[in-house]
Amino acid sequence: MSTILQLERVTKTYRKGENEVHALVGVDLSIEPGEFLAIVGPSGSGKTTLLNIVGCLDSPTSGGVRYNGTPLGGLKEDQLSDYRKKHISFIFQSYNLIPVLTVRENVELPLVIERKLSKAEARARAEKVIGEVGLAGLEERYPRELSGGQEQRVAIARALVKDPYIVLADEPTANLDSRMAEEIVDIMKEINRTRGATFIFSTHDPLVQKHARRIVTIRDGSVHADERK
Amino acid sequence: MGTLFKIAWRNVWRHGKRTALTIVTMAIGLGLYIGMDSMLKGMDRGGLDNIINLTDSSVRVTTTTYEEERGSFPLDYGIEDTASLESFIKKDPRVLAVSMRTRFVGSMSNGTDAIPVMAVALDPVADGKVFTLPEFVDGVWFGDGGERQVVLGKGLAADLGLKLGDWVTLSARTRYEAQNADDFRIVGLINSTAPAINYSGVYLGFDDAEEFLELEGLRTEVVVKMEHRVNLKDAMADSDGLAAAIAREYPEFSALSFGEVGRQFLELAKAKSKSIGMIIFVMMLIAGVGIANTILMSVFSRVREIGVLRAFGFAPKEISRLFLIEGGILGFVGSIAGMVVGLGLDLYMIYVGFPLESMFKGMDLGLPIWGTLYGEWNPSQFAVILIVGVLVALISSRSPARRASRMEVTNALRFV
Repeated sequence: MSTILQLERVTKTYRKGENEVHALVGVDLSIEPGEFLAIVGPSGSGKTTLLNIVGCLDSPTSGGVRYNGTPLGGLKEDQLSDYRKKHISFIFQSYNLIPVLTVRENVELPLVIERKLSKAEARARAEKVIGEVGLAGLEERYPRELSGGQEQRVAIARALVKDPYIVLADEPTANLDSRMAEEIVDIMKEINRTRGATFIFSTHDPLVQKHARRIVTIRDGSVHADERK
Repeated sequence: MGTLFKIAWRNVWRHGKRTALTIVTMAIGLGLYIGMDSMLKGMDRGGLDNIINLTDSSVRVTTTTYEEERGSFPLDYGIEDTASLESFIKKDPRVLAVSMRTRFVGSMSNGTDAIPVMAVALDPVADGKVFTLPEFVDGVWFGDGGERQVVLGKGLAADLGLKLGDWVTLSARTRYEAQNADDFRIVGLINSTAPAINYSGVYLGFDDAEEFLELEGLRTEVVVKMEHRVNLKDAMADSDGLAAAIAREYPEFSALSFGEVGRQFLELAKAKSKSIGMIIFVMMLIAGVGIANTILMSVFSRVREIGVLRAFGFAPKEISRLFLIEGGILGFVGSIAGMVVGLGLDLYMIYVGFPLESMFKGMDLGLPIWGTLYGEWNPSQFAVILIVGVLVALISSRSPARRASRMEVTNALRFV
C-alpha cells in the first residue's frame, strides 16, 4: 500500500531556559491512507509535538516529513498555510470554535479559506456535514449556546467539511464524559470508513484507544511500540 | 474578504464596553474638534463681518497719500471729486450703497476724566445704508437737529460714567490745527458685535462736524456696501474685484477690499488654523493610542482563535488583515460618531451660538467680536475627520496586527 505520510528520523528539540528538551528523538513512521491511528503515551512524551509536525504547525529540528512522497521541509510560511488549507484538518481538545461565528459559519470556515466552492455550495456542504454529525437544526446557534459534546461535533464537522486527506486530532475526547467520548469516536470512525480520510489522533483514553486500528506508543520522544489490530 | 470582515465586525462588538469606550473617546475628541473649528471659523467670519458691516465696509477708498498717513487720521488729503468716484462705484450692480466718512482723533471728557477716542464724522442716513450700526443703538441713530448730537460705544460711556441724554465734551484739532472743544448730547449708545466700537467708537453727523472740525466738505473715506454673499470666498472675490476696478480707474486712490483691510486678521486666522491642526494631531494621537490598545487587547484575548485560523490555512497576512479591518471598523465608526457629535455642536453653534456677552460680561477677552459667537459651517472638516480617523486607525492597528500575524501557531494553540 502507498504511504501518505512518511516521517524520517524526526527530531524536535526545544530550549527551555538553560536546558534542552528533546520532545522527539529520531521518529520514523509511515502512515497509509485511510488509517485510524491512535498515538498514545504519557503526558510530555511528545504526542502533541508529533501531531504539530505532521500538521506543519511546527518544523522538526532535524529529519523530515514527506507528504505523498513530497518533502515538506523548506516550504515557506505561505506554502505551509496552503498545504494545511488543502490537505489537513484539525480537531482540538478544547474545540477552539470561533465564538463570533455560528455553527454553520464555523463549519463553512475551511471552505471559505480554501475558496474552491461558491457561497451556496459551501453553505450546502456545511449543512450536509452538520447533519452527519447529528447537529441538524442547530446551524444558527453560537458556540456559547452548545454543550461540550455539541461543540466537539461542530469541530469534527469543521474538520471534515473540506474532505481532507488527513485529520489530526489532539486529545479529541479529553474534555468529554465517556458517553459523549464514545459518540465522538463513533462519528470519527464512521467518517473514516465512509470518506476514507486518514485519522491520526493522540489520546490517553483507553475507551478511544480500543477503537483505533493502529496504536503508536510514544515514550520519551521515541516510538516505543507500533501495533496494528 | 467577506468572512474576514464578518469576523472582524463581530469581534469589534464582542467586547462591547471596550469598543464603546474607544468609540466614545474618538467621538468626543473628533466632535470637539469639529465644534472648535466651527467656533474659530465663526469667529473669523464674525470678525470679517464686523469689518464689512461696522468698521470699514466691503471696499474702503481713500487717497493714496491719506492711506500712507492713516495712522494719525489726518484731516487732510481728502477725496476731492467724490461725486465722480461715487458714480463709478455705483455702476457695479453688486453695489447696494455708498457713503462718505471723515475720521479724526480726539478726546472725550465727562468733565472730570478724559479718554482719547477715534471718532467718525458721517452722514447718518447714507452711512446707515452701508453699515449696520443703527441696529445696535440704544436710543436713536441721530435724531432731528437742534442740539449737537453724538453716538458712542456703550463701554466707552460706561467708562466715563455717562448715560443716554447726558452731555459730553469732545475736543479735537480742526482741519486747520486749531484746538476745539464742544459739548454734545448723547443720543445713542452702541452695543455692537465689534468690541473696538463698544469701547472707543464715537460718531457725529457731518452737520455738527463741519463747524466743529472746520471740514469744509472734507471727506477722507468712501465706504461701499456690496450684496451679501453667503460664501465668504464669493464675498471676498466681489470685494477684491471692485477694489481692483477702482484702482485701475483712479490710480490716485487706494481702494482696499475688506480682505486687504483684514489682512492681519486673516493671517491670525491662518495661525489659528495651524494651531487647530496641532489640536487634531494630539486628538488623533490619543485616538490612535486608544485604538492600538483596543486591538492589542483583542489580539491577546484571541490568541487561540488566531492559532485555529492559522491551522486551517489562514496565511499570516490574512491574520494581519483581519486585525487591520477591526482597527478600520473602529476608526470608521468612531469617526462617524465624532461627525454626529460634531454635527450637533455645529448646529448648536450655528443656530443658537455661544453667548460671549452674557458669559463674560465686562471682561475683555481680546476677541474680534462680541455679543453672541456663531459657528460657521465647514463640511470639508467632516470629510477630513472621516479620512484621518480611518487612516489613524489603520496605522495604529498595524503594529498589533503584525504581532498577531507573527505568532507561532503552536504557541497560539497552547495558549489558555
